[in-house]
Amino acid sequence: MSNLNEISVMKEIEINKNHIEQFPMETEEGTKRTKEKFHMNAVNERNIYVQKQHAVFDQYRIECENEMKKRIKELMPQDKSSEYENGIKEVDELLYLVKLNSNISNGFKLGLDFIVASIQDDSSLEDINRILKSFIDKFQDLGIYLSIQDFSYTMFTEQYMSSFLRNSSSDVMKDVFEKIYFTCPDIMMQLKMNLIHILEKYKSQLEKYVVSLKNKLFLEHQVNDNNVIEKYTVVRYQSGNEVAIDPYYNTILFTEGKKKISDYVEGSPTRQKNYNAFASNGNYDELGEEEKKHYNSAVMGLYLTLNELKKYYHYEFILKDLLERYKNKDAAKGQYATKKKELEKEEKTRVSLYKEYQKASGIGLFAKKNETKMKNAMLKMNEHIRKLNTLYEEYRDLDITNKLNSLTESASIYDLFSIALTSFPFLEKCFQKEEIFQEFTLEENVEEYFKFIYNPNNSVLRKVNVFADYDLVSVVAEKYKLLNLVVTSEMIDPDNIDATMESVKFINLIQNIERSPISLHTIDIICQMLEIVGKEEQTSEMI
Amino acid sequence: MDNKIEEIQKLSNEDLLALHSAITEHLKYLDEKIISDEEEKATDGGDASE
Repeated sequence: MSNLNEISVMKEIEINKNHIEQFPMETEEGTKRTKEKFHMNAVNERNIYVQKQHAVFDQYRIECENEMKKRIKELMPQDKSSEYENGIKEVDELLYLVKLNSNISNGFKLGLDFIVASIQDDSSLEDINRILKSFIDKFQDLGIYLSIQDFSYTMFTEQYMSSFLRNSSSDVMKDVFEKIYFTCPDIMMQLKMNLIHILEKYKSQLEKYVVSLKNKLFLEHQVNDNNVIEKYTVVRYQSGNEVAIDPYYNTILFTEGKKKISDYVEGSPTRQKNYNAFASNGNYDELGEEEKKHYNSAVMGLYLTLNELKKYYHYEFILKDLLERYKNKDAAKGQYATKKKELEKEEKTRVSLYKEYQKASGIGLFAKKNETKMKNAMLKMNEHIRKLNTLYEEYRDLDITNKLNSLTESASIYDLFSIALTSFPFLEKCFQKEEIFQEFTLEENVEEYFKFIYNPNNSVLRKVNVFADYDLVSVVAEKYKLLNLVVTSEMIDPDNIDATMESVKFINLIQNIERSPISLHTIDIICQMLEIVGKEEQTSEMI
Repeated sequence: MDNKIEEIQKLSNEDLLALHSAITEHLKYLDEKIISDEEEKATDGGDASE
């Protein structure tokens, strides 16, 4: 700062003040009346002078504020959101390629599993019809045109779907549903099983479609099976970093009042408190230059690790479930094969029951309609489908346990988390069971889980053996102790991790700003100027 | 006035903020220095009571 008193306006203030202070307001001469008159004249005269000066200095104030508005425009970083759009789009596209390349079902890859899963016990008739339509449309997009033959899983699904495929009105569908419901209260479950059956029926076509889509998209993005994950992690890291150090995003955190700039500038007690929290000597400012460098690098790593650990806590229930299942993996191998055979047999029985019904309905050569036999076949079908449904649930449950046989003893936590992705029904159950996931759709939950698995910053989970008998929290705490940071197990346990993360996030924001083209000092100037000229006025002018 | 504007435009950000603060303070000072009729009457009244 230059010498402020050298500025002519500042000098003028001084002169002005002196002049006012030395203004003769009283006289010693003359009578009392003369003295009063003198005083009255002096008051008037001084008031006129002060008012004149007020107008002059108010003009200076306006000029200063005009200049500030100009400066804010110059200092305020540019919003580059549109420039980042391509990067963000590429990250999403690459994530989809990672999905296409991963060991998940084709129904999962194409979004069909989510459509089927959306049929719930509490789904309304409208929901069901919407879900059925989107399932049929999705197949159509894949070049597969479903017909009534695909919906003859039971006589009830066929009856319902023949009306549905004729594009019947919602009133007609309501009547059809009610008519079926009294002979088959499980119609929703049967429709759901029918859709799963269709996925199985068109398994090879779906596989062909996925392979051709994958090849096309891999070529477009110039990736292959071996480098797609690496490309995704690199692009995701770059895009994330670009946004993290973006000067505009970091500035508006302060100008929009989400953060207080006075907390972040050097010397602020809040800043000192957060920095000191992890300093081995309890005082960051007293560290040497080299030590500060080490400290900042370690805190940057700690920020990523705590994010990883927080997500780990979020999904730990999946890991616990899988570890429990791991104990039964050997037995599950045989049970899985037996269950599969049993299912194949029972599916054949279903087909026979359907044929029996057709024959009793008078369909086929020499067939004669017999109402009693029709009713019997319907009753048997209902019972059989319930049995099949239970068998399928047992089969899916064994499927995930059986898949654990592919793990080696050196498997990491990441490997076990990845296994969950190979079973859509398992993931579906996991997210439906836990209350914290209820506010999001299954698709959103699975998407987040997928992003967690393929997060480029997951380093601890990829390195730590999942079967080793040690506590992950202690491993993390020990690691940072070695890097000379104060991080205790208690600080990062599930109860305290949020508070610790707040401090690390605080430091991380300062670090990101220091790595960016804008300084905290400049942000401080912008905030101070905005405080004076008014945010609303400024924002509207900037738009 | 033009000279003043030119001078303001040449100021560093910190000086501009400091100058604005000084001007605002001075404007407050000037406001306080204006003696209103009510104040005058109150003073007269005070004198009379003495």
